[in-house]
Amino acid sequence: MVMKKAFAATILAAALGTAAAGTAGAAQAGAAVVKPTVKPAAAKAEALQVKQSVFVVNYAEAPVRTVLSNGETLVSVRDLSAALGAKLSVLNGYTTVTLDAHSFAFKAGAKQVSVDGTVASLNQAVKSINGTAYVAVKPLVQALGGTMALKDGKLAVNTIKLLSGAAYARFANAGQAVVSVESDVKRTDYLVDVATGRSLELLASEGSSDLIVAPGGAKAAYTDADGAVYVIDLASRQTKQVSADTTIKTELVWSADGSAIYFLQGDKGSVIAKLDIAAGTISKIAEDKVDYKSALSVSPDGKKFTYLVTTPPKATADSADLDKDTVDIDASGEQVQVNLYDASAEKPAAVALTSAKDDKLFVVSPDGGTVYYVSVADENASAAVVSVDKDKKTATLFAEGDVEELVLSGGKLYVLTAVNDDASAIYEVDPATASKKLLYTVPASASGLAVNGSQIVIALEDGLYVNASGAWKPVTR
Amino acid sequence: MKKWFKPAALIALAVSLTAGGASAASAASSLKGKIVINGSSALLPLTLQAKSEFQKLNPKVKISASAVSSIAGPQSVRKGIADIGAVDWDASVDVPGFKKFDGQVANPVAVTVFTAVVNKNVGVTNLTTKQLQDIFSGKVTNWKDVGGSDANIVVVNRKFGSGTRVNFQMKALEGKDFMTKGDNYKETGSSGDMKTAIETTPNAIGYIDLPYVTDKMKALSINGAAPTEKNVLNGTYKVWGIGYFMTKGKPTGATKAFIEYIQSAKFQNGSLKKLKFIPLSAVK
Repeated sequence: MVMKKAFAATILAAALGTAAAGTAGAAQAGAAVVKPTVKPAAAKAEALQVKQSVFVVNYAEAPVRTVLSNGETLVSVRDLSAALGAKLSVLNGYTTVTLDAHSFAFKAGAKQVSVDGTVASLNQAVKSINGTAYVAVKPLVQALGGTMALKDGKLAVNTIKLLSGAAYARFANAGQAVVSVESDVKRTDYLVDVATGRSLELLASEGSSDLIVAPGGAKAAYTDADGAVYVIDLASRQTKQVSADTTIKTELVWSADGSAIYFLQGDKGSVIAKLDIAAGTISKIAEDKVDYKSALSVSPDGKKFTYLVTTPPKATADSADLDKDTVDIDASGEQVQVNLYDASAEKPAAVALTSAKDDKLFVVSPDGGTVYYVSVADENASAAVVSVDKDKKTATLFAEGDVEELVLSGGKLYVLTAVNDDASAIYEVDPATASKKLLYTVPASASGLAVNGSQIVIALEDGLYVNASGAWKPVTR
Repeated sequence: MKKWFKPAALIALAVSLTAGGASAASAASSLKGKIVINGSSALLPLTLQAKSEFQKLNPKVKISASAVSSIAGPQSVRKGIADIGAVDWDASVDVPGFKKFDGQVANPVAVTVFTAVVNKNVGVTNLTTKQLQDIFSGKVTNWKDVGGSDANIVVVNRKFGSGTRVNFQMKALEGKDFMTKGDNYKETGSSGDMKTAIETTPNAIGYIDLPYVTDKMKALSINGAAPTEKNVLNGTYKVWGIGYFMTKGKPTGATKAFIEYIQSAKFQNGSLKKLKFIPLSAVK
């Protein structure tokens, strides 16, 4: 802090309002102002020129009026407060800026200010120019718990402490994303405003599954280590157990209307089951004794289920003579295939839609009729996005670069693909027409693609970033 | 593992997106290779879950995972047909019935809880160590002698070479021998076969690792302690062991990365617990 503690002054436990700058506000407890014990310094006649500057406030550019006075940059309190989202209140000629747990109270023409209720002194008095108060930027920012740095010739002001260590994001609603931070013993989930990076802790847990956000983004589901199912309201952060059933649930998938959760049941994901949230009852959709199902998708009408089935190689061993190593592995039948189960059929049965022995990753299906996935034929071939329909017709939908990830959002496919050793690209693909549009070129380390409307989040090596105003802005670090 | 990162290379282009939400978790990787895994059927669900997650991070790593028995794991490594041998004991040292596999490194991956299981028609819910010894040796042959109804006990055992069998004999039976034949005795070749046998055979008793327990069978308490993580950690339930991935020497390349993924906090505290294994860190 550049401010030094000044003379003793009487602190008034004043109640301040929350009205905008320059207006009298209603009462608000908890803030404090300085009782003037000395006369404000006489205004020195000097020609101060107001300049329209651009700051980078919490990673977004913001117009801020400034003046240069006695070698110090003074900033419009109103402009900077607006950019920071700080509250301004005025009472008895004192203006208080409040941001989170910090307050900064001042009076035009005075050097003495109050920082979190403690008196401090500025190098020069607060200036009032055309009805706008100007305060030295550094002590103001520091008083509000922020930091300053020069970045690309612009003053960068940060008051938001970005979450650290988050691995990937999945969007909730209205620009919010759920992110998770892992430690050795627990995982903490946060709800992060991707525009500002502000985060709220949602859930700290040991052994819980990832939070699966419901359509619409208002709630998320997870299982605890025992398999019981919980739903967390993302607005209130209240958690409710919706099933005490402790069978293993390897994947959770929300129904389109949010009234049910489908899941793969058993350690081998053999059963497709449905949990009715209101009733708390579980019913089995498909129990065909086919093991190792994964990547479950459910059609909006809850009738069609697509998923992968992994058939491991067949291993044999004669344990009679251990020294002979009679063990053998026959991989001729090993495969991973897309299956469709139509529960509305007269005699429902799983149908394998694919037959190729490629690896199939990032499987998505918007309607249960067509399935899209990243096909990896072998380690030396470029991966591509392939589609397969209910009639088992496969087609290569996207083959630019070497596809790394695929997500579905709003009926469109978003593809992260490696372009070269240095760069990857994000494409939007219309599955109906196969038309593709290059959206971004990003560093090769990009991963964890998440899309919601016009917002895209990616993970780089130093945190999560969101696209904003033609650039990538950090969401976490 | 990650591709080279160039932070200055962020280039924004035009964007036009639609509404809706989705996400994916991944990390671009240039790691390549093929990993062949064979061995313990108890560990196979865990291995395949890890494979599914690891391949999203490393699409160019092909993983082929199969199972037959624990002993086949280090045998497969020794024979050169697998990179990883999944086994329910540390096969780099001698254990009762099995000599160590020279030159192999035991990489711990999970704590497995083993449990005695019975068909749902069996009324017994708890057995003592002595009762288990008597049943599995063939000394006690009727459920009424251990608090159940008057019905012959069907003993289902795993074949020699099973890691589940090794652990159950060592820890539940405290080293006592199994019966090996009889009208009411059968052997199964894998955890999956054991599961089916117990589910479908009235009056049957066997043993299995906890993830395989279904609602069509009952897991028994032993000496009053239920087979739960809590009871393993508080020391009242003794029938558990550490599962290992055996490698020829120290693992390298894709094999090393895959083992590290299974050992990571994210997997240990997430999917591994979801599959009812216990994280390695819990029993250190």
